Amino acid sequence: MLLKFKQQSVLPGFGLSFGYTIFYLSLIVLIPLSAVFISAGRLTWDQFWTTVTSPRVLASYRLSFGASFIAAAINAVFGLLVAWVLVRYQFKGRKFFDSIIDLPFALPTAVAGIALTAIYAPTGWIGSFLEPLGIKTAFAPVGIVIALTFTGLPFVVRTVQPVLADLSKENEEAAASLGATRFQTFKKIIFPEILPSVLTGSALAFARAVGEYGSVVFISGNMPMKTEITPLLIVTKLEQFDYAGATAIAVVMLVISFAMLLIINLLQRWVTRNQF
Amino acid sequence: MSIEVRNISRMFGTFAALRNVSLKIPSGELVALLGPSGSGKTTLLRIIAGLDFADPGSGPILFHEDDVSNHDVGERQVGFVFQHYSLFRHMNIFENVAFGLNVRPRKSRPDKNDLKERVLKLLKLVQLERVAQLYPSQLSGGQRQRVALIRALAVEPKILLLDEPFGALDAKVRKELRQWLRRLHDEMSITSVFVTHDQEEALEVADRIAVLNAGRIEQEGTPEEVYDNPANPFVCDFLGSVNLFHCRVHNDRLHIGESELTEVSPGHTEHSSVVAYVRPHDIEISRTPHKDAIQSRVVHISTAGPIAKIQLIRLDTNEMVDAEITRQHYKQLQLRSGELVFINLHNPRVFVHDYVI
Amino acid sequence: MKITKYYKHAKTSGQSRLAKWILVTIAILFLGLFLLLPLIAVFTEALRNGIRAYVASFTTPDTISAIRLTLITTAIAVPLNLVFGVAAAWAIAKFDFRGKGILITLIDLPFAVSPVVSGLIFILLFGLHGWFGPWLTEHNIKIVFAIPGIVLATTFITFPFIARELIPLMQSQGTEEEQAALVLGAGGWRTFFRITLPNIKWGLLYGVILCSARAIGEFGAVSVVSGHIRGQTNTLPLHIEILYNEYDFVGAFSVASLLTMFAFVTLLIKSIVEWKFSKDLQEYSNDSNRS
Repeated sequence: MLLKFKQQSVLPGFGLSFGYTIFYLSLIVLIPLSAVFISAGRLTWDQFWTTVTSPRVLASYRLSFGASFIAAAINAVFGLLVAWVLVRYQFKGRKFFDSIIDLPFALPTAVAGIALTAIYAPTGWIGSFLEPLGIKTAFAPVGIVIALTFTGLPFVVRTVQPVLADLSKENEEAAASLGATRFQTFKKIIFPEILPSVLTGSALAFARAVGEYGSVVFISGNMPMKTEITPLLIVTKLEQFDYAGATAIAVVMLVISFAMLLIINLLQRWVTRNQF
Repeated sequence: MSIEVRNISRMFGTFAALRNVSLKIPSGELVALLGPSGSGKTTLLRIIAGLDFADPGSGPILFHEDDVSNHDVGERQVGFVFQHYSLFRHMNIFENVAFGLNVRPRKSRPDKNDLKERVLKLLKLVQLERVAQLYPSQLSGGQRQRVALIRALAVEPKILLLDEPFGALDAKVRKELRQWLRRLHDEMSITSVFVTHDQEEALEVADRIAVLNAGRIEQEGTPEEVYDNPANPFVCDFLGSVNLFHCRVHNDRLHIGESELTEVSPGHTEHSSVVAYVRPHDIEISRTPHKDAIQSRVVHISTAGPIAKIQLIRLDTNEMVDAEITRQHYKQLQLRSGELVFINLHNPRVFVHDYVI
Repeated sequence: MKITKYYKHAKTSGQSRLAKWILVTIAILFLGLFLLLPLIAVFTEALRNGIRAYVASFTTPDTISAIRLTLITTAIAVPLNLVFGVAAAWAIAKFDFRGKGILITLIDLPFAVSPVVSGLIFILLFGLHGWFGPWLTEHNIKIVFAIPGIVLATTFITFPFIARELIPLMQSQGTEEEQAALVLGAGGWRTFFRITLPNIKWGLLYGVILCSARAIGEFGAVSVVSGHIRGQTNTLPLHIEILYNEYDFVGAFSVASLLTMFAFVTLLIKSIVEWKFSKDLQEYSNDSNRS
């Protein structure tokens, strides 16, 4: 009795809806995804290892993870700041800014890619200012960071916002009444409460950034060893009909994605545990 | 229509909500399932309705001798009033009440005018005809409760089941509605079962009460029966406040120390140690010193309300005793806080084992 | 956006008013730099050669065929995921069963997969050297580098969107209203269409909009499976890429502006839905306050 799969219920339709869910999930997601692992299984370990550790691939990992990490860190800081400003302050245009936060979710990545390139290219609005100073943004790693910051921007804001809004003002008032300064209150009372959600948001932004393709390929310049991200490398291998190589790198990316998914799940559990 | 359940058990994981419960509800009665939270009363009600399922091996559920345990909830044709009303929030009040009639098979569905008439009649019955076009969120709690009731009655069920029907209302509305439920029940010639954790509500409204605790029915009977002759300490305690006295039985009388107190029904073994359960209004307070009384000190007096509540402390054991006397009696006695008095016990319910509250 | 009005209720000292001013300014600068500037850039670049050139770029046959293909893809992928989303949400939100957490995680999987890898998996399955490649060639069926591949990849990418919107929403609504309908004699389907569906309609609409936005805008996965055949397998984002790489910037940004406007519509509907939600939520909390 204890091992019963499903609790009895008066509502009808479990068999149909659950059955269809499993069927469709398998058909669209699980079976196709397993194709990557099974295809990779045809490679010998040596083939696999040489492919995924060749210098060009290693350089792409460094770039992808490095740029994604920096972008996630930028979003952690500014996302927190934006969330704070949107939750705590009233100012003209607050509603407007609040609603455009989700723009990177809604805007096709290719559009973001060409728009950012137009701004940061040496002839662009900002690029033309930075070029004389010797700062290269577009077609350099900095450009990649800019594109990834754009795509990851909503994650931290949207995960921190509800937590910040739920935070009871009483705790802060209590701290203030006990003589804490604003900064001490933030550091000792508010920050520990929102830290899990900041980390979750950053992890989500990082996971998204590692796989990002559309917004990066226009601004990055795509030079092997220098500005070639890992997803682009997969595309390049595919274009050269090197399916085995593409599959091997894809397996590495998938494993990392799943690990990130696991970490994010744990972080989210941490967030919900901290709430009453 | 009478209701009978036999040997119903229900486990939720490792938690036994109901253990082998049997109950018979005569046709036309208004019955209360009374018990603390977790006692299984709501589960029993939901199993009768068909919203929950008895474990395999349980006995049948009979509506007027017919076994309905294999009937779907919709086929049992019961009226069910949910604790939080469960009004359809996207439908107005009229549509809510009409829903049960509207989903009938085409053959038995009343035509438009008939349906409108019936719904309006019900709305009139609960004086809500003016809110027919409003939505549930625009109504007060008491109004929603009444809508939930007539929505259940619109399909003319023979059995009406109510889950904590007044639980979420404030005290005054609660009182009004329970008298109103009683009248409605009498007019409708229907069998009604309601779940409550409020003993006052059960005692006042119901024809019969089933007291549940930890998945079992502890006692079943009329309000007088369960109040005056509780079957066990739990029922005694749950049906009102009560004082406990550890006593000895000697010559069919209760003894505490040297004091020889009130008589008890015969049958208790000599010198057996028992616990006497005495309701506050059965504590007699007197000024006259008496050797067969318990000497106590008045600690606190509260006279706001129809009766005077006296809190005393026994000098022999330092245990607290609550007494209730009429205000008239209180005026005659002119009790003061701190003074010494003598108390005697009336109508003790004597049980051998101590019951842990 | 100038900050002219301070929050009325907050009694702010001069120091914290300064802190607020600084923080709000930084936030606005950050958002302006990263969100507004790209938007402005899209429209400025699109209109660089005047309105006539702008309009003309929509009437080329390639653009029209790209629009058509994008719409076809969206019209297939979104309803598929809609039916799935509703079924999955019904099973997950209304019933208790073992392994529910794992199922939810599996549904989220496509979010975690890089778009490029999402495209790759369909090449591995249906490509010339893929598992079904020989069989497909034999029967003269083209999936990769053709419309079916684009539809499949888009369906994969947008798979979780509607389910994800509906599951928490339906979980928060519980099952009591459905139970009430069943007691009153309504059947399963009727209960779903008359009780459940009206209660989730805003969440459903939002899920459909998000799903459509992503389906229309997907680039990486579609790029891998499309084969970039002009006039045949180019969706709007791919068409933008081609125009851009051919230095037809006005054309590229014109098409981009079209997608940007659709993004605005998405955000607008999101705001409306959230407003509706908060209104419902308010009524809901009024419920508990009043009762």
